[in-house]
Amino acid sequence: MTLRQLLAVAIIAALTGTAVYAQNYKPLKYTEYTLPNGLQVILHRDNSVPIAATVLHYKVGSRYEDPARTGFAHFFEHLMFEGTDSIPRGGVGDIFQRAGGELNAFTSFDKTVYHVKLPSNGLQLAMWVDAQRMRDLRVDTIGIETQRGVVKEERKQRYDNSPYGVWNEKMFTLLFKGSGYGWTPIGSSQHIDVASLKEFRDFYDQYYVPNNAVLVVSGDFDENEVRKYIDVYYGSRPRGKDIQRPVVAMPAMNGEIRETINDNKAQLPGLFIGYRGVKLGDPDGYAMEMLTDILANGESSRMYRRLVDKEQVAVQASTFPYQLEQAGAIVLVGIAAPGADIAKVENLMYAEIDSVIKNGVTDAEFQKAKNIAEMKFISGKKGVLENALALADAKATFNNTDYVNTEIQNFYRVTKADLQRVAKKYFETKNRVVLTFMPSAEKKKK
Amino acid sequence: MPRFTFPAYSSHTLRNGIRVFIIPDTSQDVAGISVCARYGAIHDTTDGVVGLMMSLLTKGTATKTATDIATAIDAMGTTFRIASGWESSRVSCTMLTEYFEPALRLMGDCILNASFADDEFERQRKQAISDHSFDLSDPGLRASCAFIDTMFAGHTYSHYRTGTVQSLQSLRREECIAAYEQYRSNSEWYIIVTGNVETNHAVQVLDDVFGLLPKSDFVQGRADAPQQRNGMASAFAHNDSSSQSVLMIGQRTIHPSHPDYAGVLLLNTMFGGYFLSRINTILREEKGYTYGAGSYIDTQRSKGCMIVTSASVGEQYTAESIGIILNEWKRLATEQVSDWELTRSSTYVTGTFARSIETPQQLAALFRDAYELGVTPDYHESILRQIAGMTPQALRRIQESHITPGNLVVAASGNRDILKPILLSYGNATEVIPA
Repeated sequence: MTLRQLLAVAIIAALTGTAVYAQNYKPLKYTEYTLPNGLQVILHRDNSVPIAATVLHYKVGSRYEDPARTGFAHFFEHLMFEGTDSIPRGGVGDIFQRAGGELNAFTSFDKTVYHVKLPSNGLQLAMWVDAQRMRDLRVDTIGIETQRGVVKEERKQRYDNSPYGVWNEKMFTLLFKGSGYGWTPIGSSQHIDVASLKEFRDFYDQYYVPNNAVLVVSGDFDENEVRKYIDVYYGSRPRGKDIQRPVVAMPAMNGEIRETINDNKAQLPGLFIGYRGVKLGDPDGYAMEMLTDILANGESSRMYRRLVDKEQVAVQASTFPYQLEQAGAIVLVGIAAPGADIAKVENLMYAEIDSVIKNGVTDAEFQKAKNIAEMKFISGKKGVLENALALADAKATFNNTDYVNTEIQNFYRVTKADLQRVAKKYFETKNRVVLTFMPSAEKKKK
Repeated sequence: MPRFTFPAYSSHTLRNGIRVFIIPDTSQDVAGISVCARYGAIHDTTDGVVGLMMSLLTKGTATKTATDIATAIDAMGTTFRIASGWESSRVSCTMLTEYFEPALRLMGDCILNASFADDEFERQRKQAISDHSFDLSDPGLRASCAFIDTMFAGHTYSHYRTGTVQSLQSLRREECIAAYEQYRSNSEWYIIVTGNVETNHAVQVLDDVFGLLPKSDFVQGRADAPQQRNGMASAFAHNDSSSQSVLMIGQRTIHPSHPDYAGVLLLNTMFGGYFLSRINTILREEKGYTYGAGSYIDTQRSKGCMIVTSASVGEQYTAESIGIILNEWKRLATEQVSDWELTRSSTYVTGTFARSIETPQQLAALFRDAYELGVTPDYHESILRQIAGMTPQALRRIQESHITPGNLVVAASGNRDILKPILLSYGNATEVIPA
């Protein structure tokens, strides 16, 4: 038995934490370069299985939108599956799936990401299609009209027809009001309805250019061949105008904001509490992530033990940091147990936060949080697509691709005192939004 | 297309006959354990008892409290995932390799020495009732209740696997302990280990922990094959203030061990198994009525396998969407598929397999699927070979034999006033109230 195993046994036996760090992490190897047209390229070879993935990460998300045209970035994600000058409508999916691959995409506040995973013999085809979509997308009325309908149904499914479905839309609107983070990527159906074809075309011409993208190819491939394809397919795409990146100006909050929402779809009262947090890369973000793990990750977490286990007033008590490129939030979620008072759920959550502010965390909790960070870091490095997404994020967000291998060091630098300090600093009432969702019957009782 | 094969694995037997399968992967220092037992909801004596019993495994042993266990698990940065299915249950965990042995020993203690203390039983029962109440607000779950209730009416497969509020309230601790004794003593066990572990050491520790389980006879559950449906049926679950109808439409189908299964798998892929499928193409890409429509083969109930279609559609499109799905089902039964559609879906299925043999967790899941179907892991490769050799003519026979639009169950959740008149065209439009 190694020393570290002995330590692990000691943790179980004594139920105390012991300092152990990941020693055997095998770093991701990659090469990176930039094409003359500005496209940033990362290649990561892993030939353990004959599959490959591509990620094309565009640095445009909902915060780049005109406040009168919200939802554009996400809508464009849908249009990108329509067709190109060389590929007929419906043909994009056909090409990938005929090659045995799966393609998808997602849009967030800061980025729109297109990804493909497929048998490695289809890689050339995937790159050809992605390069087509970069500059030769066909944006026409049929595609726009169809996708308007699809996005409306997506909105209903995710937001309007789900219990508590509108929480994040309301939270971001209230927490980041007056900034580019004050609306969510799904945006407004009305804005999409009234937008003209030219506006869509202009959005595409502005942001879907090689100098606004990071391309990652990951998996089983021959590097010389792939470099050749990249040069031919992507290298021929003309550079676009330099992107003016909107700076998020965040007006100060003038105290707590509270709102109660009548939700007929919810069976139980729900509570969503948001605090302003820190942006990606801020050293406090690592401490906050560890703190939220201590507060509400796992059955030994403080909130689970107190609210779910001991007091039995909640079905769920969780918290998570939400870090963006220029801002951040910390969100607490509590779903009341049947018959329990949602006000008690809220008060107990604050009590647990206050306890950290007053007394800090224990050695065992601190060690647990480090072990969780280590586990997430190492076990997350598995899968050609997952690795490609992480590499693209590191490059696009930090302009530091090796962040994928060094991120864990940021957690190692966090001290116990840091956790108490960030609790004091960020869990402030004046930076807080409290949303309470009440089922109809519950509301009538109150 | 490259050749895809299931990775090499080794097979071992503990002193009491429990089978152990080790699938090595040294790419990172991470390991996974799944301790599986063929014991599930078909053994329920009261709705939800097996699920509740499984959830109590980590809530105390002869020597550790629930808090001790939670603290030890979290200290290793991991989670014990407990899955309780219809015919099998498992406890699994992914951990850094250095914690393999302590995690395994802790898991063994939970599985073999669970204490079911009174206070923990009461707490967990209350929690299960709360969780169930929370789940009842999910429109998809409500549609599923209407669908399953109609598909397996009167059969144990239609009971609430996670219990109802009423059944959970009536459950006694003694019944839970009786279920545990069955689980521990009369299940067929097997264990899958993946990742970067030293094989001899892993087997030695497993033998030390699980080799002590007494040999016993496997107890069959109370699941006889449900009767085949004859004719269409319809049902719905009402949702207050819904803005969409969640459709769930399906038919019974053959077990994966049936010689025609590869053909049914292909037909399902064409119908709703991928983005370019017939129903997604029409309902999403042509009509814009839904964010996505798909279908899948549900094999959780081995004697009641099903092809199930689901889609959340705008309320105003409910009638037309159901009509489109039923029409496509008829086409699937009667029209010979084209060469190009067969080629495209065959390649997609092959690619899907290729994309699902990458991580230790994926491999464990594939291995588990094969084991529980009673086939070897090369089953997946044999299915791929059959698919590669499929012709439209061969598929035609399978369409005629196994696609039966006349026996569909059409179910939905949504607004009663909208759903009921529409569903009356397909059956009694029975209202199901999820409990």
